Amino acid sequence: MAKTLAVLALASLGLRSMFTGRRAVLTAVLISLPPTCAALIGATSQGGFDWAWAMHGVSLRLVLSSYLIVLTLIHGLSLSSGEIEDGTAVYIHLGILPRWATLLIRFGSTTVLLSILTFAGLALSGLAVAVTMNAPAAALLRLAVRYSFVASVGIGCYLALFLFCGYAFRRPAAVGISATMLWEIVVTFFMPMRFAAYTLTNNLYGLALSLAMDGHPGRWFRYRRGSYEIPSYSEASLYVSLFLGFFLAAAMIAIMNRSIEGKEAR
Amino acid sequence: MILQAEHLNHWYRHVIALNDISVSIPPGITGLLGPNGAGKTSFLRIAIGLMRPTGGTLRVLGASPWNCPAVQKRIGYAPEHDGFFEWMTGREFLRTLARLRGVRDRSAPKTAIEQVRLSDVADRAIATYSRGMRQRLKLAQAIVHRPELLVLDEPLTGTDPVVRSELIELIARFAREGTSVLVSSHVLHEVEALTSRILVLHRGRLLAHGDVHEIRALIDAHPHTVHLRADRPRELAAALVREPDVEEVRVEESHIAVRTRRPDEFYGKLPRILLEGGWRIEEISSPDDNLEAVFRYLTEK
Repeated sequence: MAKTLAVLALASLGLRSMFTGRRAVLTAVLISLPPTCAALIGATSQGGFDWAWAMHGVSLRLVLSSYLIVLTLIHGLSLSSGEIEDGTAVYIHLGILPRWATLLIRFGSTTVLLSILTFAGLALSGLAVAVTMNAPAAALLRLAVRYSFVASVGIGCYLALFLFCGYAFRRPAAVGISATMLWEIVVTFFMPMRFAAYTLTNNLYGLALSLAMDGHPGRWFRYRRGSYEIPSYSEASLYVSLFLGFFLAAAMIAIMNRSIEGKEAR
Repeated sequence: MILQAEHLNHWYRHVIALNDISVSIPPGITGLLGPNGAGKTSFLRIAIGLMRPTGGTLRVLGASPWNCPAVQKRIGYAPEHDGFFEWMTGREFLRTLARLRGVRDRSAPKTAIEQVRLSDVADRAIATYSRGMRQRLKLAQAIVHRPELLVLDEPLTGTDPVVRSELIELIARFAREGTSVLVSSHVLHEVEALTSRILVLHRGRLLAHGDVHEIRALIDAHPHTVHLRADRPRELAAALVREPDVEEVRVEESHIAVRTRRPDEFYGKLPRILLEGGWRIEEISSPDDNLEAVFRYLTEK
C-alpha cells in the first residue's frame, strides 16, 4: 500500500511538473509545430501532391526526424540533471522506492504523456490537412494514430537515451546533442546506408513504412530510386527494442551510481 | 551510536572535501561546525545516502545509507539550498513527500505544518514564501515521516532573530521527543544554542569533537585579543598594561588591542579598571571570539 502510494505520487509529480515553467511553454510550441506545418503545406501545395503525402511528410520529416529529439531532450534532461541542478532530486530520491524504480516510473509516465500530446499534435495535423486540402478526415485520423504509435516508440527510445546522458555525464546537454547530431542527423542523411541503417531515425522510418505507409516509401525516403531498402518491420522492431532496453538499463545503472551533490560541489 | 564514520574520504575530482574522518556520534543533538567549504554538506549528504564516499565507511542507524531506502526512510533531511517545486502549495509539497516516503497517515502533513507553524500560509504557492517560511517548510518535510534521525544543513541561515529562536526551540523539542539531530552551522553561537556536543570541520578535516565548552576552553587557553574603543586611549592602555593577566597592549588608530592569556579574569577585572579611571567605553569586541579564531587556533595546534 505504501509503495503504491509512492508510485502514484511519483507519477503525478512527474506529470504535473511537465505543465509548469519553461518546459510547458517549449512543449506547447513543439506540439503546435506539426499542425502549423501541415496547414502551411496544405494551403500552399496547389495540387503538387495528394493529402496522404502531406501527412506523411509532416510525420516523417518533422515528427520522427527532429520533433522527437527536441521534445525528449528537454524532458529527459529536466527529469535527470535538471532536478539535480535545481535541488529537487534530493526530495525525489529520499523516498521508500529504490532509485532505479523511481527512474522507471518517471520514464513510463513521461513517455505516456508525451505520446498522448504527440498524438494530439498529429491529429490536429490531420485535421489541418483535411481542411486545407479538402481530404477525408477519417483516413487522416487513422494515419495520425499509426504515426503516433511509431512516435511513442521513438519517444521511449530517445527519452531513455537522454535520461542516461543526464545521469551519466557532467555535461549531459552537450553530450546528448552532439551524439544525436552526429548519429541521427549526419549519419541518417549523409552517410552510406550500411551505417545509416543503424540509426534510430531510419528504424523508426522502417516501422512507419509498415504501419503507416503500407510498405510504399514513395518520395519521402532518401534511397527511393536505389537498391537500398529501409529496415524491415522485424529488423526495425529488433533495433528499437535493443536500443530502448540498452539505454534504459544504462540509465538505471547510472542513477544507482550517481552521487547527488549539492551546489557546494560546483 | 547513530553514526559511525571510519577513515571517510571524499573527493570532487581533484579537490578533497573530506579527509580521513573517523568519528562516532551518539543519540541526541550534535552540531557540525565549520566555515563555508569545510565539508559539512558533503558529510551530511554522505550520511543520508545521497552521495557515495570516495573512500572509508559510514554507517547510519546501523547500516550504510548509500542506495538503501530502508535506512533513508528513517532519516529526515533538510538541505541548505532552496530547491522546491515552486508551483506547489506548501500543503501539496508535504502531501507529495509524505506519500513518497510511504506515510499512510493522512494527517501527517497537517501535523507537520502545525508543528512548524505554517498553517496560515500552507495553501499558498511556495514561490510566494519568505526565507523564514521556506526554512520552516524544509523542516516540516524533514519531519513529516517521523524520522529517527534529523539531518539539518544550516537550518538557521538567512533567518531573522525571531524565526531563528523559534526554529532553535522547535529543533530542541524534536530532540526532547526522542529524535536524534545532526545540525550544521558556520556560526558558533547558533550551535551553542542547540547543543553542547560539536564536531569541528575545517578544509575537510575533523579538527575537534566533544563538548563545546571544552573546545571553548582550548580557545581560551591561547592568547586572546580584545579590542576596546574608549576616550583617552593612551591613559587606558597605560592602566591596562599594569595588569598581570595582560601580555601586551597596542594603541592602534581606532582602538586599543589588548592581548591576554586569561580572558575570563580580564573580563572580570575590566569594569573595575574602567570605573576607577572614569573611562567611557564605546565598544568592546574580540576578533578572536569567533569561529575563524577557533579554526586558526586548532589548525595551528
